[in-house]
Amino acid sequence: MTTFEAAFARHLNPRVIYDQLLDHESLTRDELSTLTGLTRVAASASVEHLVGRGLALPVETAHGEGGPAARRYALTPTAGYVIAAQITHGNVTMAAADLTGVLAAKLELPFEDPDDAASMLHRAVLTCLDTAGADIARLRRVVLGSPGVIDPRTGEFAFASLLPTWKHTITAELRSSLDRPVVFENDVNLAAMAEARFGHGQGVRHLVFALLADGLGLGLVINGRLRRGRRGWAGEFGYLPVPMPVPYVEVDGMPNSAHQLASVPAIRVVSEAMGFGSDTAVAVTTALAASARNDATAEAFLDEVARRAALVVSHACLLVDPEVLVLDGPYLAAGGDALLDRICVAVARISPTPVRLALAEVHDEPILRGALQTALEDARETLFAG
Amino acid sequence: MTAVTFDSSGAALARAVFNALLDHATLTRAAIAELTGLSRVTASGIVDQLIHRGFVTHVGALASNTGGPSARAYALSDDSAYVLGIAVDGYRIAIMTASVTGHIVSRHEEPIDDDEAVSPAVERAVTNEFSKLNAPLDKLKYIVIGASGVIDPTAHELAFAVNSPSWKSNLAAQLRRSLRCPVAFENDVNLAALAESRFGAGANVPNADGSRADDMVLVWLDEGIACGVILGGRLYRGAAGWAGEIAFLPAHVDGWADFERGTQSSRTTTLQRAIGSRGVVALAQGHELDPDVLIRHAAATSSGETHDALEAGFTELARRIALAVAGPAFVFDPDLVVLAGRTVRLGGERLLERVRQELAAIGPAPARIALSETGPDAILTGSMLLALVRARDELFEEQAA
Repeated sequence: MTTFEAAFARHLNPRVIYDQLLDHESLTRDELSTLTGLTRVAASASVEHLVGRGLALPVETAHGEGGPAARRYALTPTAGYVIAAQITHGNVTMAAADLTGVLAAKLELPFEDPDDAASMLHRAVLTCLDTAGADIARLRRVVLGSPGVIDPRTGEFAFASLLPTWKHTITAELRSSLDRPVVFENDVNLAAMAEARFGHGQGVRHLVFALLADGLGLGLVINGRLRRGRRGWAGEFGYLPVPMPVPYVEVDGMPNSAHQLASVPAIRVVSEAMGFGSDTAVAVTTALAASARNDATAEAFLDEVARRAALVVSHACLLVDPEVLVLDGPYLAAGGDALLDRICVAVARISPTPVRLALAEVHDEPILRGALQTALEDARETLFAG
Repeated sequence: MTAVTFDSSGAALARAVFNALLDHATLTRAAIAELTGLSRVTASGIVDQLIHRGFVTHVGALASNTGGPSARAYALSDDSAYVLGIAVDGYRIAIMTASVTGHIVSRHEEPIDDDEAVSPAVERAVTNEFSKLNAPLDKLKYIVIGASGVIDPTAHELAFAVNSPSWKSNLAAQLRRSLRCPVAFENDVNLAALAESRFGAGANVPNADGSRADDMVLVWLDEGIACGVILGGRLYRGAAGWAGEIAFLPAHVDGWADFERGTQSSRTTTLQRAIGSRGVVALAQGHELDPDVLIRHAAATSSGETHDALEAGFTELARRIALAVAGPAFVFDPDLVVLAGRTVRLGGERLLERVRQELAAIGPAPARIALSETGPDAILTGSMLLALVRARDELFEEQAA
């Protein structure tokens, strides 16, 4: 075999077999050959390769009446583990899963002392592994989701809104104390991954996830892969200069920026001024009920919210042109399809792109799910790299 | 994930041999095997196939350095196949012919005065060129036409154009019929970005760590404005060909009427109206300046009044360009943003410097910006490049079948 051909046999074929075993409970060599299009010999060699590395194993099967059944193979669940976490103000949710994606442990911890972050996260990882019954040597990837900008070149925070003291060293500290691969990942990017894999992004090549919350953020999943940008700043579109209503009441943050237009604090200013109170989700719900009774103020408020959201969202439409643009955030979730329809109308006035706008579909811990999925995909990738 | 079998890798192997010869001009069979990682038997078989198909010729012998018999040397044939790059706007058509090996054979340009003239102009140029080359027309393998408008990324046809003269909708079909060759449209700014990435600032302005600027956004500031987006070294068009169409974006500019009914703002327009060439002219007139004087930041007289007007106008010009750059810079965070088009050619380094200052005021971590290094033939070069890539893809797919 040539080096070119040998490279296929060593890396690509086992990967193809592995992916089939991920999708099925167990398979015979014949079934694997049929599913992958590999010859039976090549499929068998790859199965042996996976068994030899402890990644797959023969499983017990009931014998049929007419003689011994063909041996079936499955992935070895205990071959490796990943850990993922969602870190927010005051709270850490952490989970461990085996390489087949089955959840093995989950815990929640208070998180109060930023100066203690590295050792607290270190202890949490060990506790999580212990609960899962996994040895740290089997830990293949740790993905920690947090707000902030993480420089992909160093793995460290360039900008940490949650914990300013994390800057520059937290990743290195954890990598050295655990001696395992650890990455921090921007929380909006992880929610985008969750939406790409389990929500509106299934079967879609390019997805943009737009979070309009206390801050604004975009997550870009292009050709199925997360794009972080050269320095991790991709999607930080709160800074974008946009036309502002005249006059407007400034909230904390850059003046004349998208943040001043469509963040929760900015919408709160509008809501309070129009008499709908300080909770933007409640305000939108109230206004929708009132607009059903033809309340003119409610109509005006909803149109203003939709117009502001549309103005920032249309930037993503015209720059990225995704198939689907997923919106999330407190007032958007509260507004549901009724508000989304108004936003679609307002977007169409600005952008002629044929984008599909949708509300986020993954509601159950999207950041944690995105972190787990990212950790699993990265870990599986490294199994067959090099 | 689909299985990769050895049979279907034949085309990939032939491509690998072709690329090795592209990079090294002249090689022996042994050297080809070594460079591609193929066995000598496999490599030799592929060389024979490529000779048979006319892509490779025997060009002499290389002296052996071990004292043994000299080895036969091979090279790509320049005359095996050709591609055409075309750039067309309302005023002129430019046509570039290149061999499939990437050598530019000719460049032809003529003014066009009406829509009817476009298709005959291309046919005439092709006929002349191929008779000069003494090559049959079936050696023409691919044509890419660069034009303004949104191009459907799968059909390669015009999907949307602000001004759509009839040639745009008919040209590809006519050329396909008369020249019997695949014809694809591509957005002109996308093609300029492709050329910039290969031969311009994208190739010449590396990242701080020395790596290539593989994520690059070209911001085109001319009569129209748009971005060409290169991600991972490849053209990114978006789901429907709309990626980078920033002309439609709302922009905040003093003295403009509402862009949309019902808005509370009285200073909103689109980026196209703010910084397209007409917007720049309007800006200059607003300051009682000649547009070129404004862009060059160079007045003949230096009266205090002119100086103040020039400063104010130039700052506003830079601010509007920074608005156009901010979107792609914050959404993609590319390695490099390249400014191109007539406005930037005139403004040069002085304008670039002022844009940098304005961009720094918009937000943290401003993108690295450079001026285009491709010159006025960027669109034409880009269309030729894309035609080369597509032609090679088709040639080697055909071989696998």
